[in-house]
Amino acid sequence: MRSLLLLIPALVCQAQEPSLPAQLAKAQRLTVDDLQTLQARLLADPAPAAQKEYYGLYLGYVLASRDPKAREALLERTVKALEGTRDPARMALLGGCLGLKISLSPMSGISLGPKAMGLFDEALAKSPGDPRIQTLRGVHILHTPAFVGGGADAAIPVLQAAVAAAAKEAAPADPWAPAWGRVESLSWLALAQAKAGKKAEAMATVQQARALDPDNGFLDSMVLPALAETGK
Amino acid sequence: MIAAALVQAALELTGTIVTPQGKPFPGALVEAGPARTRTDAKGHFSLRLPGNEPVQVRISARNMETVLRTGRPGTPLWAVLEPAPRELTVVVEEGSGYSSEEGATSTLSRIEVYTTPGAAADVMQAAKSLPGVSNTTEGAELYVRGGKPSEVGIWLDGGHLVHPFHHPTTQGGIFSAVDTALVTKVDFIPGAFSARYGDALSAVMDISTDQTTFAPTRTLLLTIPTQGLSLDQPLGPGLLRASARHSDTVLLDKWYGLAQNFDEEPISDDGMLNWQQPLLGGKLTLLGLFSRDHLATTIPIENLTDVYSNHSETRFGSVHWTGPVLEKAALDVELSADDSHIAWTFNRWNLDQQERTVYDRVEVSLPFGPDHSVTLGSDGDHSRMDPSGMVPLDLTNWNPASPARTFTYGFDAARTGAYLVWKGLLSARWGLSLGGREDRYGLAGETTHDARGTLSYLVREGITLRLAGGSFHQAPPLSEADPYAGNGALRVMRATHALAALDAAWTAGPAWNLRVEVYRKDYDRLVVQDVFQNYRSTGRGYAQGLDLLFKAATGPWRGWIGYGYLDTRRKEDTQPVLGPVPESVPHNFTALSSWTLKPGWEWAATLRYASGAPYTPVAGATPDPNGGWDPIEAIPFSARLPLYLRVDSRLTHQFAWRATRWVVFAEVMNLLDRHNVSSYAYTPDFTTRIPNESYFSRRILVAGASLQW
Repeated sequence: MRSLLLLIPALVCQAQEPSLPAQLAKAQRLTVDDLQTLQARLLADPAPAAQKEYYGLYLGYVLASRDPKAREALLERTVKALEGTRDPARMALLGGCLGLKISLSPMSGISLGPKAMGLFDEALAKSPGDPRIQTLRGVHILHTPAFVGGGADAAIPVLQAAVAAAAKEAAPADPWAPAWGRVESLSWLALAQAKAGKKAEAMATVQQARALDPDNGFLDSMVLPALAETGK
Repeated sequence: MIAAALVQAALELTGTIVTPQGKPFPGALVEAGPARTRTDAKGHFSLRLPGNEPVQVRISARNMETVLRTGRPGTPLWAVLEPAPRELTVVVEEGSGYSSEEGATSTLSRIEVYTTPGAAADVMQAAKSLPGVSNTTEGAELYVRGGKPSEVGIWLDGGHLVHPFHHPTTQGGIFSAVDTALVTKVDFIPGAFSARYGDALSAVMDISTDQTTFAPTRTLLLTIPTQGLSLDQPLGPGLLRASARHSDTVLLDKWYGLAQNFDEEPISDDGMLNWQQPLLGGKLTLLGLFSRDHLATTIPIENLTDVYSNHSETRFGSVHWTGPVLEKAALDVELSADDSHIAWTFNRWNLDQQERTVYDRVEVSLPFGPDHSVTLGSDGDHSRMDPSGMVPLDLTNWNPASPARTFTYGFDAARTGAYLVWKGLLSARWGLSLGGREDRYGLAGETTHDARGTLSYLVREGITLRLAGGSFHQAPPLSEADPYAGNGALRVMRATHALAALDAAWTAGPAWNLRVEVYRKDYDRLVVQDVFQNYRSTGRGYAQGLDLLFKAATGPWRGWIGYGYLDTRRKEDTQPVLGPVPESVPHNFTALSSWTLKPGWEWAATLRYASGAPYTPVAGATPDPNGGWDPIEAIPFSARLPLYLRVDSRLTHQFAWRATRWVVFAEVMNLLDRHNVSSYAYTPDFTTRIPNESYFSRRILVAGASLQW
């Protein structure tokens, strides 16, 4: 009976599993294993392909950022699907993918870096209050070398703007509409602050992110180690 | 009862396996330790585990890539089974070439075009650094494996670009009119190229401006000789790409004494306008290129010193659509027009020439399964030449009193062709491409047939051996096939290529790649000058040699070495027997070394060494009864210019300022201040020889910046 009681929370959790779009919106905070599960569930979901498309591409971007072994193949597929897009949300994803491509061949940053920034800037001009575009732009700047205008200090104001935009954004009526960004902008801001040596500010941002998502895997795997590094 | 069911559920791993299309995957084997099962018709599985700890799960199926996942009893596991990557297979190629695509084994990458010292960020100047391209002159024209620049076919966005040079000479020009800022891909194939390309004897250069990422960017270029602006601007569903450049070398010329005086400053301008638009399920690309230049300066040609004036203008336009048809086939339709005008005067000699070429191509590609494809197409060009003026009958004698050849007419030439190419994998390691084409040349009234093929063998990962060969035809230059002042009955020139190439690449640790290639080319029906018929198709020739390219990169350093050995002899033009010609430059060596000094700072140096090109010495002179002196020439091309040596060095700094990204550079061209000789001139009576130094024959400091936003 005791073992049964121990098992009940897990079963209750399973019964209360959030909807697939809600889980997809948490993609950046999940493990590679969880992302692969979501990928399969998304493929099998009966929703129309056009509705599922954004999150399919988003998963491609997130998985590419997390799985170095599969990065090249995932980016090739995702970039091909995004080529020529004029939709601001997808343009930002494409910018993010180009940023990841630079990690495969740093020399390509000379041409891909400005191209990615061009995509972010145009996407932002088309959709100024979109926290996801601002977050992806901030992430790109964070990973851009400081000598060409990137780095943690340059990324912080961009990510702060993303946090502010995310706080103002209302939940979309369409469950499949892109809805991530509130926790992600805070998480990336905390990482940028940690990398910039702003430990107290980073800790405060971590607390804000934890308040929204206590099980945030990104904070545990990325931000806290960076903070530990800052403290040395 | 309920408790037992709950416990069982908690110790059970369930899940669903799907295909990449999201359909259930039945029959997949799911294993977790000793427990194993197969998925049912709905892709579901259920495994009973001994405890509720996470376990590693292995999911596999025939011809699918095995997936390893972590399973947690009580939490449904979902997985996608993707087709297993094919075993390592050879890449089936046509001929042996270099591509600017990142990842290709042998590359002429866009970054290299921009950063190679001395290449002036020019695609064709950069290609001159590749082995197999002789340093016969300092211009951007390509002398490939003993072939003349006119034997290299140049395609831009699928259209045939006939005159791609600024300040054109009879062979080429100092720079190309194609702005690298708009170039996205370059394929340069110096041997045994595809049957898709007709009317080219030696090599092809295929340049593309196709941009798949529609992102707005602007780049301003500010250097001492050249200023330019280029942009990418998405508009609606399309992308506008444009560039404009202006170049005025007068400051450099005067500062460094490259030329003493100008009656007209050497100015060149070019512009490109490119529109890319999704259309009918495919992509439409429109391209316009305009270039013009002029100069007037006092120069010596042979024993005559006078003002040489040159004005030229090129307009090029192409319409290209490519897209899918009939489900699996791909259709490619191209129409281009090239309109060039050149006018020069030198003493009493002058030429004003208009040349127009319209080129078309229709091509269908059909895949037959994953391993085979067939491409068939037709192409053609129609040219019209309208020369007027007067040049020396003997182009080695510029004495104003010597006999002249005059032009005051126009004539047409046309070619139509059809081709078929099959590419297939014979096995994982062996690949073959076979192609053939037929061309009908209107002016010569001749039909030609060519067969070409490339056999590729994957020795092991990263090492490929290729054998390639075939026959190639090209119409004689219009200036020689001219039915009035030339010989309209000239035959179509022919060449055969045979080559063996080894490509090896290593990406772990210090990355390097190596290409070694041996080749043999035989020519016949080359055009020889003739006293009675002006020109005859009785020439022939051969070229054989070895090309070696080794590239490496480790940490902050990268570099490469290119060496080409060439043995070529031709009976052609003013060479009446099988002997040396200006292209007979046996040794060509280029080495580049580049260091990243610290983030944002790069220092690079290029060394170029080449044997001197053959020239025909003047043994004496006789007074011409009509005035002046006529040269007495020694054996054609029996002497060589001094060897060519040049070192260029460049320091580049990248940084960001406000919202702009800057690349600032300073480059010393001809660091050793070596006065390389490009030809010889003479005093009026030919008693004294005067070296004509090459354009970059002084140590020159150039600096500039490009900013992007």
